[in-house]
Amino acid sequence: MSVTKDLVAASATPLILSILAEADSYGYAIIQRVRELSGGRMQWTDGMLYPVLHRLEKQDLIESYMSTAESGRQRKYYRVKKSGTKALAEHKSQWLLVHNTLQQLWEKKPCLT
Amino acid sequence: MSDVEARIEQWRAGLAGSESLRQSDATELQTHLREEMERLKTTGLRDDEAFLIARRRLGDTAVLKERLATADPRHRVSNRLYWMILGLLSYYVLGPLGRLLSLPTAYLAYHAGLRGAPLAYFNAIADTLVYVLTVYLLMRYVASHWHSRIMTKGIAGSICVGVLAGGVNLLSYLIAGLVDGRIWSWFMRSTEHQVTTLPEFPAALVWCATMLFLFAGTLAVFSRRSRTE
Repeated sequence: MSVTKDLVAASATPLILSILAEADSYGYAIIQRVRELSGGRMQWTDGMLYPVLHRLEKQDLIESYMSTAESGRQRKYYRVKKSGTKALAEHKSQWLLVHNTLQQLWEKKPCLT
Repeated sequence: MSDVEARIEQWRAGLAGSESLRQSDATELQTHLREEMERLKTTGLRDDEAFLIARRRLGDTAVLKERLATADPRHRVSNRLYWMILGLLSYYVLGPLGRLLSLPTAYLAYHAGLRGAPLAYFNAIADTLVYVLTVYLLMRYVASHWHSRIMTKGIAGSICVGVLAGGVNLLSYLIAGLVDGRIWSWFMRSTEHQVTTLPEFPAALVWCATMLFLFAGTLAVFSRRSRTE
């Protein structure tokens, strides 16, 4: 089973914000993390992460800085800002609301009358 | 450079050839490509195989560029503005420079016995040709040294302006000839006058030096912009 395109697109923002809330990270590591957490079933087209990152940066939810990795490679790291943390809380409550609503429907016992 | 390195560079050049993509965005994607390639190679893939898969995972370059452009449309607008200003500025700089170089040819033509209308036409055509040639050489230089699409575009724009201006010049001679003989002969006399006395030469030299200074300044700003971003 893999997640549909629409759902991947809708969950991109809360996923990125949540990963960055744990620690600053860069594009490649974010994708690896999503892959690992979802057991490889949330397959992003790698490149599509970057437009989302840039949009979040433009919306002032995250900020970026350049840093040199141990390998000597220049990486662009992203860090979540205060407004991003707030936005994440908002996303979280919305997702939980959807989740709870579905959960109640799906857990309903079959009616025996 | 190995074959794969060359292909990575080529892929990056394809990305950079977009006014919506900053240099730093291209670098970011290139780093991603290399890291994915390294991971794939640990699974036993060859260099070129790793490149193909990593490139595919990054997705179609055209789609990617489009998505990145919509993520930050302001950047695209500012880039357009930059190359338009650059184009206009280079027309003002290179126009007098072309004039400087074409005046002597008209001078020679005059002394070879060319007079009146043929001289005026010769002068207008030489003007345009010299201008286009100068700008073309500059564009080749910029394209090979700066790898900046914005600059190349700006200079290509100024070629168009130059050709247009040359065309208008010639057309105005033709129309003047059809409408009123006096205006036409004034045109012809003024060309002869210019050519025989070379009155524009010192003025063009000063103008050219000033503009060249401005132009160098803009180029410096541009090359910094495309390097830091």
